[in-house]
Amino acid sequence: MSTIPAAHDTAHGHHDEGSYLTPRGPFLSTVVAWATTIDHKKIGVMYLVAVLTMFFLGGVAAMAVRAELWTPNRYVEQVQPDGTTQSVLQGDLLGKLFKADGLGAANNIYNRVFTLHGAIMVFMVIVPGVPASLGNFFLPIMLGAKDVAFPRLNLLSWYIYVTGSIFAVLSIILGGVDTGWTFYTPYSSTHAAGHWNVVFMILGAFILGFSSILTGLNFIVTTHKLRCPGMGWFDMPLFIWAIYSTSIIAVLATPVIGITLLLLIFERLFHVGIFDPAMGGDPVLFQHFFWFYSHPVVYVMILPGMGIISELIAVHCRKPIFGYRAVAFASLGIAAVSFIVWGHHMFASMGELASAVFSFLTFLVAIPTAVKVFNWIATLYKGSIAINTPMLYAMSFLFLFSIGGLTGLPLGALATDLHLHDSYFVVAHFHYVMMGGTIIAFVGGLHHWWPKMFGRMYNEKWAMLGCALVFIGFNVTFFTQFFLGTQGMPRRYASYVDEFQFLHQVSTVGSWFLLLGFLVHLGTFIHSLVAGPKAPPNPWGGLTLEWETESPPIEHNFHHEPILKHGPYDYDTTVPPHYDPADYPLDTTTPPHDSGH
Amino acid sequence: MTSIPTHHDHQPSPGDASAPGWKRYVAASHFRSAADEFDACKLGFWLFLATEVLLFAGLFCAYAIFRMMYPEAFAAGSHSLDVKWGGLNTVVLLISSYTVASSIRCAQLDKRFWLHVNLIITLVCAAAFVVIKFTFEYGPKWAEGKRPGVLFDYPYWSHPQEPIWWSVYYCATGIHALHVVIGACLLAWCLYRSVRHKAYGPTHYTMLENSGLYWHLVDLIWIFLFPLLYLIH
Amino acid sequence: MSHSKPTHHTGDEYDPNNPHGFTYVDHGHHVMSGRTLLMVLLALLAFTGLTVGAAEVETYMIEVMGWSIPNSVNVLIAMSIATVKAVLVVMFFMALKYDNPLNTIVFLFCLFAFAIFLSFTALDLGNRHRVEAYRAPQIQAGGTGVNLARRTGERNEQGEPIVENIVGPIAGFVRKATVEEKGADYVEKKLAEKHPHHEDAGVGPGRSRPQRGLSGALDERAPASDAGHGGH
Repeated sequence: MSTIPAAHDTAHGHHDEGSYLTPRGPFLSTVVAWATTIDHKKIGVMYLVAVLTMFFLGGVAAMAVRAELWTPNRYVEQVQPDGTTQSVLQGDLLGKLFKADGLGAANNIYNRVFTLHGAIMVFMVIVPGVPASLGNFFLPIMLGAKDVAFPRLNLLSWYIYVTGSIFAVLSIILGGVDTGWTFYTPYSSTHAAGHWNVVFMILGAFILGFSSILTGLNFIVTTHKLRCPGMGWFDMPLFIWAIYSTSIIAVLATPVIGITLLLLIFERLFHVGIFDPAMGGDPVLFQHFFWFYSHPVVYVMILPGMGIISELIAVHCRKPIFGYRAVAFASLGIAAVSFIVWGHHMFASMGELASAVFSFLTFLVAIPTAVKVFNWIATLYKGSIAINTPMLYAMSFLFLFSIGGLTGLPLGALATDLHLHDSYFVVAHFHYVMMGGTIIAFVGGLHHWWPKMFGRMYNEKWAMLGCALVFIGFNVTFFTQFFLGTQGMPRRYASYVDEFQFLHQVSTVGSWFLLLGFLVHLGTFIHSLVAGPKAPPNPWGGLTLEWETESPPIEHNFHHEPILKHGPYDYDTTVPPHYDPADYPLDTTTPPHDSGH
Repeated sequence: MTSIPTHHDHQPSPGDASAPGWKRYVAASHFRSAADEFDACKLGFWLFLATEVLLFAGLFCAYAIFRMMYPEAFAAGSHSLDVKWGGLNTVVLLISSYTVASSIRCAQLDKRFWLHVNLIITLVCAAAFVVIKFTFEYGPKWAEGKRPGVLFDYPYWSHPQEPIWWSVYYCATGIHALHVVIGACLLAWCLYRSVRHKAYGPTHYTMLENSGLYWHLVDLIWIFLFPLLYLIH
Repeated sequence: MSHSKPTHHTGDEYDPNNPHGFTYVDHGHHVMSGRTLLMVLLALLAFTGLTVGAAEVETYMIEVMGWSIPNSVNVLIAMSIATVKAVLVVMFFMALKYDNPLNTIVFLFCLFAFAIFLSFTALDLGNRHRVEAYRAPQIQAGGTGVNLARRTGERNEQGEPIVENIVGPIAGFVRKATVEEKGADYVEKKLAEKHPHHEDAGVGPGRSRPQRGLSGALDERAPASDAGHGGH
């Protein structure tokens, strides 16, 4: 017996356990069972639903931002029928929608909408997104464990996440916040928006921090303590390495944003003055506090995405990953470097010495990142590449993330940064990394693991169409913004000069394609849940442990505690379990495991 | 010492319901053994303590930066604190730290009476700390107008940046005092569980151990806050 | 298999010699001796006395004997003693000495992160006053002048709280109000009582630096007459 018994093996009498999705009792008690579950898979699915809901909310705000930028907000002199001229406000799409009075009020609405987009996407979507949903679902299964180390804590962190999100939504209902997601002082602590809007938004972000901390802590302990027999550190899938590194960053960096936001709340409510120059405090100190968390957290956002890509590429080109240890250590390396580069967000506000030091250190990030990218490409080389949605997303990631990474270099260099700072170049850069990196990897990973999570296959052709739309829409939306940025379009403005209008409109059209792509995906997923064919246990021929259990997994993940007998990517020596090449929807002609057997 | 993990899948038999809580404790089924679970809980709690240290790191950092910017304001502010009360609070916290460590020792040796005595002394110390803090430190200073930020109302300052000192002082000690209260609540909960369910004994005292670690951390933070706020002129 | 552990469903296949297999080391149940705990407590109390004593002696040397001791000596002594105390608490009370080394690593990592946080922030803010000669002419005062608004605690006829605007640092505002209320002589007397040895040493080591830029300009705006012997 090389691995655990086959999932459908009925030779053993006790294999009639239902999947974790099987309802136990009537509707109401099923709902209660989900709300009080300590099963990491259900919590993962609950996180997925919550994160996608917030993604929808943030997406609506993004579409609104792009729509507003179709024309600039400004007064235009118009000749009236009676011959007099009158200045008329034009282009204030959101202003008219929310009945704002005058240019200032219309711009203010725009400020609130982009803040909404930023704060939701960062704090509620990208940071918790991959680790809390896919990580929660797959980390224990990939380790061969029954659950995470602290299941009740896991449920608690979901409720904390929901509480934090409710505070943020409450702030929006009260009228929103216009500080930008960075909450820079003294604006956020004195003049910005309404008193309680700001406090609730900050409080929401503060509470969400606890959720990250508890999830990260749980994952670290799970990785240390609950690996199945036979699984050493270097037998772990690279996704686990990425989640582990992410968790280290989350645990070490998040408390600092906790105290920062707490002090900011004190500042707003009692004017303690620590971040207020009017009272001898220092606003740049706030920026240090903020970025000490928020830069590492950029890697909290991207590292799980990188972990997903490692899985996608290895599985879908059926080849041992090139340089396993290099990729694993690169994750830890990125985690380590992430703590010493935060100053590059503040080149415009820091002293010269610190700027130079941080600029130098920033370039260190490129090393482990490039190690990963080159290893992925080397893995693809001579692999039996299956062209399906996860692989298309992996390739999109390589393309988009490389652009995002390379355009980071001019921003890390002092001289060019002072020119590009706070321009659309920065906006384009971080969207290429955050969205072209994390979200693309997230969606790719969702397709990769969808059959495992819900036991249904999705329609490959429609999903590939969705992927193509997302890829094209994304590039049209954001590549134009590099040009806008280098030409001098500053970020966070509702108005601009006529020369920028063409590029802004191209970008807005791109955002519609992007929306269309996500709608196609949504349709594919709903269709899959309703009418998709039943998924086999191992549709892609993967070797990591999640493919050794049923689709969807049973309540306790495995019928027996698994014992690891092969590495996660030993495609050259191991036949993938429960794998029938006929299951593989779009297989290549090369037999996946022609050597070693 | 290396041993092979023993797998825990036995259920507690209903017959031993009268046995003390710690004897009836069964590790969660996803752990290999109770010892493994204990180790995991402790690792998890140390990670949590790390986040607590980094939470206070922000306050220490604010202290260091403003002290660097306005040394006279900090010296003047420090002069107006009373070393007597700060020192007394230090002693109170050190003693409570000792009694918590002793209470864990008593749990390990199954001395329930002394376990309770130690926990009660700890709780008394926690109450004393908070009372001293509020009645002898915050109260009089607040009344004099030595308040944080825009609330500052003390005309006889010797450096115009003293409000910043008071902001740092109130934020740091206030958040620390909040941790004292949280720690005391945890220990009170342990005391209740021990009295009511005999929950802690030689083979199971995870909650007590972790609450104790939390309490020591609170002590640890004060060990640094005390000289920084009261002694450095 | 050679070992005869209670049979679990995977027990037969578990190979203790597997290099990747689990080797479980039991760290958790070290019982501290009561004597050690007591000795540690006594040491902690002694160190507390020592650090208070050192600070008192130093104050005595400076104020009564008129010695000039650099600020760093004071910081160094107090922080060294605090570190020794912290190490005692961590090693014995928290029993890290007898615990899983992984927990020590976790703790050291967090201290390391703290050190990075503090040192890089100080690297920037501690060097803010340093301006390259070629950029000196670019420096200009910033700030808005009107800085703060605070509630007086009273309300107007509409029931809205009355807000007063404060120009310049809050400290100067408070002193000015007291001077207006009780007279300059009274305030001078109170200050003299409070600082019998005060002298204005101007700018130097251990003194506030002239702050430039956003926050500094506001400092320079502090009304000199109101700041009294505040140092500016």
